[in-house]
Amino acid sequence: MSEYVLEMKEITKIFPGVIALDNVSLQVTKGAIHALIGENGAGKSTLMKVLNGVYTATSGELFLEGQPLILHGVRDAQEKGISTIFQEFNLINTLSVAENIFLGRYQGKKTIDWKKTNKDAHNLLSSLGLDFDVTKPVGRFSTAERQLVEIAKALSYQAKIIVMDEPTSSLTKKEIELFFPIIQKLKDEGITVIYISHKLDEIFQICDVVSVMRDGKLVGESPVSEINREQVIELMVGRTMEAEFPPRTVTPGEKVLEVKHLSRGTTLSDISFDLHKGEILGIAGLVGAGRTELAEAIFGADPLDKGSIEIYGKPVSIRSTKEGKRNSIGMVTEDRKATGLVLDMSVTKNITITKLDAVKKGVVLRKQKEAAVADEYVEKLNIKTPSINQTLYNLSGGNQQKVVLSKWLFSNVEILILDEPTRGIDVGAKYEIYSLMNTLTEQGKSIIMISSELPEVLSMSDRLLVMHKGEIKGELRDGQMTADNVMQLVIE
Amino acid sequence: MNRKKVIDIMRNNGILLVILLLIIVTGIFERNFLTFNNLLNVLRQVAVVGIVACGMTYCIIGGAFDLSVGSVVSLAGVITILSINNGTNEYLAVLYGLSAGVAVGIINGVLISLINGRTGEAFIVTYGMQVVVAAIALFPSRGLFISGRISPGFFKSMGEGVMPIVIFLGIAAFMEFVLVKTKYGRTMSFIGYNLDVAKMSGLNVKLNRISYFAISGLLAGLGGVVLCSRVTSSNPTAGLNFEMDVIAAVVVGGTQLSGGSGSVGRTVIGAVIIGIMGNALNILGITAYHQQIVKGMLILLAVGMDILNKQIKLKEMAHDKVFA
Amino acid sequence: MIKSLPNKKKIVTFIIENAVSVFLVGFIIFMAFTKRSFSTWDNIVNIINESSIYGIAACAMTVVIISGEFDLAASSIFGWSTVLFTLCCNSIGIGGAFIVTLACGTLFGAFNGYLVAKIKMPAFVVTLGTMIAIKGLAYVVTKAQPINTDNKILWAIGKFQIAGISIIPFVYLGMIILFIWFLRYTKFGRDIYATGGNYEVARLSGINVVFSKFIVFTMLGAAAALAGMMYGVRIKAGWAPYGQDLSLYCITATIIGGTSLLGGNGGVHKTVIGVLLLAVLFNALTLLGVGGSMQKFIRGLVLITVIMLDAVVAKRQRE
Repeated sequence: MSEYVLEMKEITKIFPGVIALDNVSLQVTKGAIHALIGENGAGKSTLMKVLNGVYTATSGELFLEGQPLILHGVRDAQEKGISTIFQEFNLINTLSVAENIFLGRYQGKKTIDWKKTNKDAHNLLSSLGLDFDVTKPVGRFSTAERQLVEIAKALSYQAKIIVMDEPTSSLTKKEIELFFPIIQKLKDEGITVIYISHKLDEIFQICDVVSVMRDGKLVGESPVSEINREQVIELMVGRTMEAEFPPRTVTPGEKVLEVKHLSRGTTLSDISFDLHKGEILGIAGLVGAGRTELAEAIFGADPLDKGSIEIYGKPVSIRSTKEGKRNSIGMVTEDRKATGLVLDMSVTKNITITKLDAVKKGVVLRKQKEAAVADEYVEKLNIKTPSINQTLYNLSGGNQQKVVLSKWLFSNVEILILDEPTRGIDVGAKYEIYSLMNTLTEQGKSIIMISSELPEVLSMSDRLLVMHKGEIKGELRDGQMTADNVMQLVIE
Repeated sequence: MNRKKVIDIMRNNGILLVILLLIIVTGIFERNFLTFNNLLNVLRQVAVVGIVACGMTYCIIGGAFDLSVGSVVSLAGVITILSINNGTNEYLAVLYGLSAGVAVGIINGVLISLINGRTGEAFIVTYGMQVVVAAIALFPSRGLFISGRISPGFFKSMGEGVMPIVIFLGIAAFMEFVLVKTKYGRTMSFIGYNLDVAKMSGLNVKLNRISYFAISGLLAGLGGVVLCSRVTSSNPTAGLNFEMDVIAAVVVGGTQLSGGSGSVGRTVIGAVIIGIMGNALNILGITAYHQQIVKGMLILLAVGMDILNKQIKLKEMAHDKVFA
Repeated sequence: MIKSLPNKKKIVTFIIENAVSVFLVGFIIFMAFTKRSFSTWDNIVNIINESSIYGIAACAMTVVIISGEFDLAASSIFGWSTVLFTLCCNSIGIGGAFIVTLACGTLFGAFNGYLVAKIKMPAFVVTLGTMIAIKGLAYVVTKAQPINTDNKILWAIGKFQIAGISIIPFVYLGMIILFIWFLRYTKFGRDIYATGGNYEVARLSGINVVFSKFIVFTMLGAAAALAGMMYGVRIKAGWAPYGQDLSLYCITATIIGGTSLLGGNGGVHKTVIGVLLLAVLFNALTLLGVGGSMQKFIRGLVLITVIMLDAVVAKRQRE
């Protein structure tokens, strides 16, 4: 019998073109709260997906309580005692709390015994010190409460290990204070928690051990009592950045865009900032901080309620994406497959869509003109495709992203909003995109770059806004732009 | 490689090939079938369905659906004939008929845009509209057949001789040109494939979608006008079940219900082939009701094969390497 | 001030959510006071008898909508069943007729279910296709003529009544109880809610989502056949066009009752109210002397209105 409840041995996971996990070995002691941290893209979530049965490792082994473990999907992992609480909950909003807890595993012999179901659900929640109306639909509960339902669900599977993916990212301070005792309670009952978080304070507050990942490798592990914040940050960020990012050379010029007191619904409140010609303005913050919402409000996809936008000092009204484009704003969305590209259409058609007027003669779209445009961008951006008439399905992430960029370059917008521009792209293509950003700003374009990858946003930005809960928490310039400072602003 | 190509063609055009086979077989057994006169006659008959199917094709390529076209055919016919009988100028009468179609289309489009509906919602909203418009068509004549007092002229010529065929093919050619060659057509495909991408590319999705419904309404109206010109009367239930023939023509032609991909040209082929098939079945002595069964199964088969094809293609694509 | 905002929104949402029901209840009260013939026992019995037939199918339509789909073929299965039932009554007797018709309806439903659940074809086009085909079948078999029956047992069953209430409302009541029990207390019933609520989550939770989608169409096929037979019992005849407006009526009743087109919630007990409201509305319109085409017009308008409201409510709830 091993002293570890879980051992992951030499796990490697390779995706086409990317090594997501490189020989990672992780040991977790029974009953510990084990923190797993790292920047986005460091490999934490891939590692956890190997653990909860979403992915199968390319090589490596898993052991649960000393026994070899082979998983066939999420439910199999659950039944074997490994539950994961994803950021996007696996709950059905229209069904009751009790039913969600026992989803797919009904209580009672022939027919469903609702009394028992509700009682068992109630008991599970009581064991966490909670008193919910278990017959109410889950959709009526707050995010925090739904998370607790997920925990109760994990308990109902007799979970030995519960993986929590950024559990506090969308909770208020008050909710977090109520949440921690529950984790403590799990620990007291001998349940192991793997705690994925960006928030260092939390880790020092409740975790026993911390493992740090970077670039698909495990780079450090230590009992929390024997390490301090600075050391953790160093492990997370610690790398030479020069090689990865081309140097910035542009000096920002006149003011291009000014946003004043922008508010939208409950997601954005009183946001003011400006953007200069040739500048790359970074926006950092946690998932759910309102960065994408801000971009969409400026671009017109989800127009602002209050406030104003000025371009070259002139107030403009942007109520739709069409008006956004007319006002020379373009947006590269974070999910290029869902909102960036039509995968069924060719490279050419995806590029020219933003400015079909330019490839027309009379009313007719000219094939030659379109092809010339596509050829131009394929060459300029080094898009690797068998042909410009190829549909986008079989292009790699990096090349797809270059097509999205081409689309906006072709429409000749002056302000480009890039939302997670290098997500899911391999290192080589990333560098190309960074270089391209430099070239563009040299040509006088201005860029707003939203990114969750701190090194990227720190290295590429001329100025950095840090957002949190729909507000701008601070603006960092020059020497202030360090990972630590960003963390300080984001952590409450 | 060649064998693969043949299989591909069979797979993509399976239904058309089966129907062609039926036509050839009928042609061999029935001398009167494949004659110029008979085919011209068939074309005259499919013209109305074809005109309406062109509009439906736009709607489906744009990622929506219009189930109200049958009722609009009835309504436009009733309005036009009534206007003419009341002594309205025939040009104006036709214009009234067409306007009614456009109005219904715009209402459809606005309602569906309001709830940001996709194909499913569009289907059910226009289903309601079908019932509403069918009822409106019954009001003026209390559901009775109206024979038109039509003197020779513009209106009468619309349904005479080869005129319906000319209108049908003319419209189809123009619409195919717009679809393939113009900004409007490209935008339509884009919206149909992925509404969100279209929106995030700075296109005016709402206005464009409303226009597809308006065009569908307009052409359904025109179909109604041509129909009642041909039969010189109007029947307030003329368009009953009309949408079935229209949908059959579109899906047999190969326009995909999921939106984005399709062609007016292929809809023309679909409409003609179904028309000829109907004629062949008539010659073989198969009743209209039997043909209804065939049509229903045809729609299922066309869409089912389309979906199975897509699943096979996706599997093949997964086997191909990612081009890095 | 800030706190009252969500409350206000809730009230507005409630009003929108129930606008149609509120309007209809108001209308009924108005009718009860102004029209004598409306609130007589005879008329009430009439409403109950009338609404029970479509109500039987509406129960099953509700289940289909809970699973996140809808079905247009029910109307043709209904018409076809009146034909088949009458034909069989004339040949093999009422017992055999019952079994054959029910089996045939179930089979049609299963065919729809297979195409939607397994082949993953969109439900609207599948049920549209089978709607045309089955209607065609009914016309072919009857040569478009109505068929009468003089089956003695059928006439006897048709005559049976308690205080004016025929046997049909009792069958309807049985269906209501059966469906409420099925949806509430069986694994299959709950699986249908989960499938409609969130297909992916349900699938990952080990629920057989394909079977769930398959079974709902099968049940609707059976229920539409049963409803068709009840119609046959009432008028002792079968004809292809009978029940043409069944699908429209059932979808409308379900949504008015409060089951959302988005799937995953609602229930048969709600649809019962929806069926009743619609029945009362059309009964009242008839009493007021509103003509057939005007009623048809209102029918379509009500459907469009409830769908729009359903979508608006769903949007508000998301935000």
